[in-house]
Amino acid sequence: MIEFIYKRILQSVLVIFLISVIAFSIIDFAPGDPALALYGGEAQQLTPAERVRINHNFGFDRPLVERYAHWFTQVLHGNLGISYREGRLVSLILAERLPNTILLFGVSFFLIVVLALYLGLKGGFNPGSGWEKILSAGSIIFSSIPSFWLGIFSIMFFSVFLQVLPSSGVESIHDGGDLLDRICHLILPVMVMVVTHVGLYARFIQEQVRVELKKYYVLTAKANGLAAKFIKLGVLRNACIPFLNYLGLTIPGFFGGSIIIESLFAWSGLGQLNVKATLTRDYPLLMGSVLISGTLVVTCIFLTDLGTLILNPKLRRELNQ
Amino acid sequence: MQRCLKSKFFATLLVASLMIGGVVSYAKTKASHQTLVYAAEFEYDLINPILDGSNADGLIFRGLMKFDAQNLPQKDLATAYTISPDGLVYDFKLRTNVRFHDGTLLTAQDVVFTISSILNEKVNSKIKPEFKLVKTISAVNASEVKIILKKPFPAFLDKLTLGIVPAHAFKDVDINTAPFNHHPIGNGPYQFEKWEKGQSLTLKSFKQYYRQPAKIEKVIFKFIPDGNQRALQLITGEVDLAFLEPSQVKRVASSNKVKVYQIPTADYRCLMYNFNKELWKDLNLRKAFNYAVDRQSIVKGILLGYGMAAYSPLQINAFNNPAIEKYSFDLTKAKALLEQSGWKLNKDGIREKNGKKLAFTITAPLTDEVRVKIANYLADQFKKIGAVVKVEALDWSVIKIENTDVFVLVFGSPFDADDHTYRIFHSPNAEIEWNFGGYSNLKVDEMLEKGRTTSDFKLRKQIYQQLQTELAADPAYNFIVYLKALYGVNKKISGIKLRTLGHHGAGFLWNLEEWSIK
Repeated sequence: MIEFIYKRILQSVLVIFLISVIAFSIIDFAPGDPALALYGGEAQQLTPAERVRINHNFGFDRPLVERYAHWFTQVLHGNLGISYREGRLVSLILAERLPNTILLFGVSFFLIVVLALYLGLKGGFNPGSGWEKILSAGSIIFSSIPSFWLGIFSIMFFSVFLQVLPSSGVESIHDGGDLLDRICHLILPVMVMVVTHVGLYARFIQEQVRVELKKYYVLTAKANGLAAKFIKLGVLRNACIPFLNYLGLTIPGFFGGSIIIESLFAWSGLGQLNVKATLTRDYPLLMGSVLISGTLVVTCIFLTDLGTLILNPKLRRELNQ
Repeated sequence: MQRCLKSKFFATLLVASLMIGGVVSYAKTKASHQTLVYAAEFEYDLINPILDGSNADGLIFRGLMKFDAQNLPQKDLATAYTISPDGLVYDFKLRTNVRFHDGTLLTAQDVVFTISSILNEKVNSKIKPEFKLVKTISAVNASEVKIILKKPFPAFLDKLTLGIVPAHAFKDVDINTAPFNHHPIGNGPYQFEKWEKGQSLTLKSFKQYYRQPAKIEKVIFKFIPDGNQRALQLITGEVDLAFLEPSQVKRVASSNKVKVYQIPTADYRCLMYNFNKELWKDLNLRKAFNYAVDRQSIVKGILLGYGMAAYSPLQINAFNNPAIEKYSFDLTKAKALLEQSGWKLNKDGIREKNGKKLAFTITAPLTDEVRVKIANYLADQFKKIGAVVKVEALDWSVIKIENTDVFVLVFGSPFDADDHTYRIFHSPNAEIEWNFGGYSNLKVDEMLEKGRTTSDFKLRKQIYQQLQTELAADPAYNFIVYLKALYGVNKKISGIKLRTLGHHGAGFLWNLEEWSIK
C-alpha cells in the first residue's frame, strides 16, 4: 500500500515534469518574443531596432538550450522567473491568484459532489419515480446550458434586475474583504459552476446505483433479510468507486471550464491569468501558470486514486499480494 | 436515508446562509461617496512613466508640461522655460514647492533621472523612441534643467508632459523590476493607496498637492475584462465610468443613471500602400482605390455611426486643410483611372494588365476587430472595380508590415502636427520608425523638415496645409475613418471637460482632479 502511494507520487512528479517540458517546447516554437510581449496590442509601434534591444536585455538572443537550462535550474531553486510584462517574480504573481482559484474550485467541487451524491442516490434508489425522470431530463438540460450564457443570465437577474448580488470580482472594492463580502461574491460563479456540472455527475451516480441494485449480492442480502439500511450502505460504497474514478477523469476538463467563469466574473484566478499570459505572450508567467495548474490537476487525480484505494478492498488486496 | 437527510439539511443551511450573508453584505458595501470607480478593460502590468504610459499616470505623476483643453502643452512643474532660436536648447525653471507622495521635495535631479533612465539601453522602456532626439540632459542647479536636442523637434514640449519619478526610489535597484513599479510614488493629485492584483487599483487624493487638491477623495480602477460586464456595472452603479463599444451605447444610454459622451478622437484607420511592391508605384492605381471606398458606409455599418470619414492625417488638428482632395466615393472615377493605367476588364470581370490580374492581399491584426472588419468590407467593395482582394487577419507575432501588400494601420495624434507625420511620411532612413510602406516624396520631406524648424504658428500652418495637399495628390495611405470615443459616465459626476482624445479614447481623465460627485 505504502509502496503504491510512493509509486503514484513518483509518477505524478514525472507527469508534472513532462508537462513542463512540453509546455516549454510549445511556447518556444510559438512565434513571439519578450519585446512583442511588452508592446502587446501596440505592436505596430515596435521598431526592429527596439525589438533587438529589448530582446537582448531579456537574454532572448541566447540559444534555446542555454535558456532552457537557465529556466530549469531556476525552477529547481523554486524560482519561476520574472514576468516579461510586469517585471515581478512569477511566483509572487501566482501566489496572489492561487488562493482565489482554489477557493472557487474547492467550494464548487465540494457542492457538486455533495449535491450529485444526494440527487443521484435519491434517483437511483427510487427507480421509475418522478424524481428519477426529473433528474434524467434535468441533467441533460442543465449540462447543455453553456456556462457563459448562464453566467450572463444570472448577472442580469441577480445583479441588474434584483440588484442583490455583485456581478464581478472576488471582493468589494470599497472597504470589502470581510467574510460575508467574499461569500457573497462567490455565490454567482459557484452557482453557475454547480448548475452546469452537477447534473451529469448526479446522473452518473444514479446509473451506478441502478446497476448495483440489480446485482446478485443485493438480491442475496435482501433474501437473507438484511436491513435495508445496510444494503443501501453497501450499494453506496460500490457505486462510489466508479464515481470517484469518473471525478478523477473529469477534473482537468472541469478545471479548463473554470477559465470561462473566471473571465466572465472577473474572478482573479489562475484561469484568467492563463488567458492574459497567453494573449500577451508573457511566457515566463504562462510557464509558471501551466506548471501550477498541472500540479493542481495531478494532485486532484492522485487524491481520487487514493480515495478509490480506500473504498475498494479488492484493489488493496491485489496490491498487498 | 438518514445520511441523505443530513446532507440535505447541511446543503440547505449552507445555501441559505450564503444568500442572506451575501445580500446583507452587498447592501452595506454599495453605499459609497466621494469615490469614483472606473471600469478599466485591462489591468496595468506596472505603473512607471519611465517604462510605459497608462491612463493612471496623469493622476499619480505630473511632468514639466501638461496638456490643456486644446491639447496644447502648458507649464506644470515648470514655472518658466526658454527655447534657443535654433530650437535645440531647452531651459526649464522648476517649481520649488512640489512634494512627492512620500514627502520629499522634487528637484532637477529627479527630472534628469527620469529622462536619462528612459534613454538607458538596459531599461526596457516603450517610451524610448519618443526621446531619441535628446542629446544631453543636465541639472543646472536644484531647480533648473537644461536639455539639448540633436535636431529641432517642435513636439518635444508634448513629450515633456511625461510624469517625473523620484530618483531616490530607485537607488540600487533595476528599474525593470523595481518594487516601485507596483507601488508607485508620484507627485500628482492622487497618491497610490493599494493595488489588489487582478481586481482593482485604489488612489486617494494627495493633500499636499501643489495645486488645489482633487475634490473626489478616492479613484478606483476596477479591472473588468468582459465588455458586457463593464456596461452592465455602469447601469447597476457598481462602476461610475467606462469606455464603451458602439454596440453598447443604446443599452447604456437608456439607463437614467448614465450619460454617454461621444468624443472626437485623432485616432484614424487607413490602408497603407506598400511601395516595396511594384503595384503601388502607379499613382493612378492608388487614386482609384482611394475613390473606391465608401467611407460613409463604413462609419454607419462598422462604427455604428460613431466616427467620420477620413481624408487627412491632420484632420483633427489646428493645421487641418479642409480644401484638399477628399476622395469621396466615386466608382466611375475609380474605373476611369484604372483604364487610364491600362488595367482592362477581362471576360471574368477582373482587371488585367500585361496578362497580370489586379490582385492583392489586405492584412490586418487579428486582435483588432474594427481593422479586420474594415479589411473584409473593403475586399468585398474592391471587387466592384474589378480587383481580386484577399484578407489576411493575422497575429502580431507573424505580421511583418513591410512585407504586406496593403496593411490596415492605426495612427493619429491629438498633439503637435509634427509628431504623427514626420516619422510616418518622411522618406525612409535610419531615424524614421513608422514608414513601413517605404513612402518617399521629396516635396513631403522638405515640408516636414520646414515644419520642424519653423516656429511661427501661421507659417507652420501654411506648411502643414501644403503637406496635406501633397499627401492627397500623391497618396501614401487610403484614409478610411476617424473614430469617436464613447464613454458612459454616471450622472452624479460633474466637472468633466471634453477635449479631442487619442487612440482608444486616451486622455478622458485629463482633468479628473477637477471633477466632483453630487
